[in-house]
Amino acid sequence: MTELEAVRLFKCLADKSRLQILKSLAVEDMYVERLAERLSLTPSTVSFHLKKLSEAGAVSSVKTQYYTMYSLRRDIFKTSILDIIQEKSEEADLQAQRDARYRQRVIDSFFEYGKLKAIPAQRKKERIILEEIVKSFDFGRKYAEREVNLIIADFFDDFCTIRRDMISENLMARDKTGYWRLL
Amino acid sequence: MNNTPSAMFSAFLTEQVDACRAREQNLLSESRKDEANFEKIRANIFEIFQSVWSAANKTSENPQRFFLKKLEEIPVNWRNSLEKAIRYDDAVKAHIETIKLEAAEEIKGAFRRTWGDQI
Repeated sequence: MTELEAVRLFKCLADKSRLQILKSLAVEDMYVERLAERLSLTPSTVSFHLKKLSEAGAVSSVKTQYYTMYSLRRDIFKTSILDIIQEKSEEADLQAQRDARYRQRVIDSFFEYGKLKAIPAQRKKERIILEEIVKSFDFGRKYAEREVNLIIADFFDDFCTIRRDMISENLMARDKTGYWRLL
Repeated sequence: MNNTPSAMFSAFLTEQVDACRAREQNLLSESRKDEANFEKIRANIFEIFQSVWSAANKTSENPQRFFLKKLEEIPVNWRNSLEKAIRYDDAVKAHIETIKLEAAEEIKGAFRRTWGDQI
């Protein structure tokens, strides 16, 4: 289901009468007059709602000799909301580009000639700064605390705060034997 | 209270507008937005003919005849639009045009009940 189809379906479902129609069709296939009688709506109103439901892909119809029978598109309703959310969309690339631009702006404003000017007050910005600093550590290598401090000191004098924050942000881990990079 | 046919007909139009507005609010509170919109459309039709009736009384020597003429003329476009919608299987448009025509028919019915066919 594309994003546009999902939006159309959700919009269509946000109506009590249409939900009632779907509930009836979940029981069995029905024609307009039967639905109208069951839901106490005029046939014309039911036709209106069925048209919208058809356009949103929620119902299908088959013309028989006397009536047009409407059925619930069960396959559509078997799609989980999580599946729809996780569907990759054209918007995802744009979001990634926006994120990258934001990230670069933060780095540009907090670093000067490779030195950190100040620790950002906002956690989101501090995280970006810490992710930048942690790149100086190799994966799979263990560092002594002194080594960690020296590497961080190249960026910022208050290496203790940066070191602790990298641990709390799960960018690095530590035990008795030393520190290592996680992310 | 003024009980002349003219005042009673004005009161009928006002009552219809108020009833439509009340139903519209009720439907909105029940999350039936499209049906609420239909009531809004119905209310608009009664309001249009309220204005026509008011204009008829101000400008015409024979307000009933003037009003009845407009009551025939105005829905012509709606009828054409309905036929077109049916031809192109546009259920949404067809429903809206039907609502407008039904409201016009209600007004015609009330008009005839008030003054009969001798206008």
